[in-house]
Amino acid sequence: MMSYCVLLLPSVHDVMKAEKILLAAGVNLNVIATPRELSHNCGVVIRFDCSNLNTLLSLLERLHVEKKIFTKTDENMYVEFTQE
Amino acid sequence: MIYLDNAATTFPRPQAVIQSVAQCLNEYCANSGRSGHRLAIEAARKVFEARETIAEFFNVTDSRNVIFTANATMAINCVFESLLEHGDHVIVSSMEHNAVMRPLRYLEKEGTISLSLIPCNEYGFIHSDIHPLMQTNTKLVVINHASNVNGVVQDVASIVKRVKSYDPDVAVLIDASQSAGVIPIDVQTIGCDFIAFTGHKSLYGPQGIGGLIINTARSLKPFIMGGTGSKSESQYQPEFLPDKFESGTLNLPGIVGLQAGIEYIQPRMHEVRAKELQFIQKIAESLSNIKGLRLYWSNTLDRQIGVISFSHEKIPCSEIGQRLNDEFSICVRVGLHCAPLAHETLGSFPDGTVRVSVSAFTKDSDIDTLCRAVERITKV
Repeated sequence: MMSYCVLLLPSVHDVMKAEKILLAAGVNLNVIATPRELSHNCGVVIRFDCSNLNTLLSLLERLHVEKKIFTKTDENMYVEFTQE
Repeated sequence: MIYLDNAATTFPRPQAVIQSVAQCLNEYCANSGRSGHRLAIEAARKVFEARETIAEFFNVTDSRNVIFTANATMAINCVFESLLEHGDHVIVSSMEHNAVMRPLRYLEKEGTISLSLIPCNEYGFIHSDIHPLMQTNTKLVVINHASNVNGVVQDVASIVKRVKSYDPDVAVLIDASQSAGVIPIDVQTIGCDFIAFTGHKSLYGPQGIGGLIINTARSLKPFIMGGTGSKSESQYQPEFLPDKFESGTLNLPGIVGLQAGIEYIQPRMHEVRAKELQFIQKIAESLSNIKGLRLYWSNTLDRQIGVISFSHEKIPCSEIGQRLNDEFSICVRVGLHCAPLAHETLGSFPDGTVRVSVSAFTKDSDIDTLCRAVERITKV
């Protein structure tokens, strides 16, 4: 399985807002059910190609909510991305 | 049939609203925010889009501050539940609906709050300064934007400014049940802390949907708690908006219907308002010639919406309403319109009035027929 990234936001509203901003900027993404390994929310997260990470972070700067980004590795593990 | 009871609920609805609700029920009416499948995600998108539309309509900076409720009454009750504490003082206008008065009288009776009324003149306009009523423990001021009894419009921006000049920490709640969709409402310009609105009147949405605009950074208690789809591992209510104030399954058909209603009225608000005021002027001019009939309205069109009342010195309003219904197929509302305080202010308590309220779908011929019918009924 190819690796990818997911963006976890506090609420479904925030996910929809992020989706709107990212789609408007032409970022490819999918809204998917929250992986159970990441959160026990009933909600959704944004899955995107990790090559778009910097673009995504830049576009979502104006979304003032807690953002967590995870990379799904080839070993089927989620690793949290931390900005240095 | 001529429907002139739009202040109770508008009828008919625009086709776009009907189609929007039907499409929702037919195609994607899943539970927003509760699952990750395609229908639930589509439902969540629709809720988000509606919230953005409403935010833009009221000029709310962040659409998270748009909270869906069942109606304006629920939104008003939510503010009281969320904000008021033992020992608080609340000021209301003398034109308030029971959506405001009943919960406040309850809190007053049980000793939680004290209550003061701002006097209004014979037309229902607030005509005295609010400062003398304000106390050190005043927490909230509630103002009815447009009366459901006689259609007068209060100058809410000036009142809010006056309240805030006394104490910026005093919150102001605007009841926009009758004004939203008629008068442009900019929450930033008005400067109030809360706006309660309903979807099924001049916003042309279905019944069972309304909302609360929160325009304050103050700490508020959640007013309904339960499942939100977020933080499901926690037994405590989330602190972020809108989830903090929205629990349980949302009324998705109502929400998309409300959005369609706003999209219907927003581009034609000015035109519809001008037409509605022409109708009110026509009714006022025509009925003012009838002996024994008293009109209740602002007497000035620039502070009026499409609602006007009348009563007759000899014929009870209930009889007029019944005869309009039975003999002329005209639907109006009679009585106190759930606003006894407003009727006390206007001098029409306890008998009440016959209320005529128009909409974007009212025709000139409807008003002509109404005026002729009232003339015939009142020939005694």
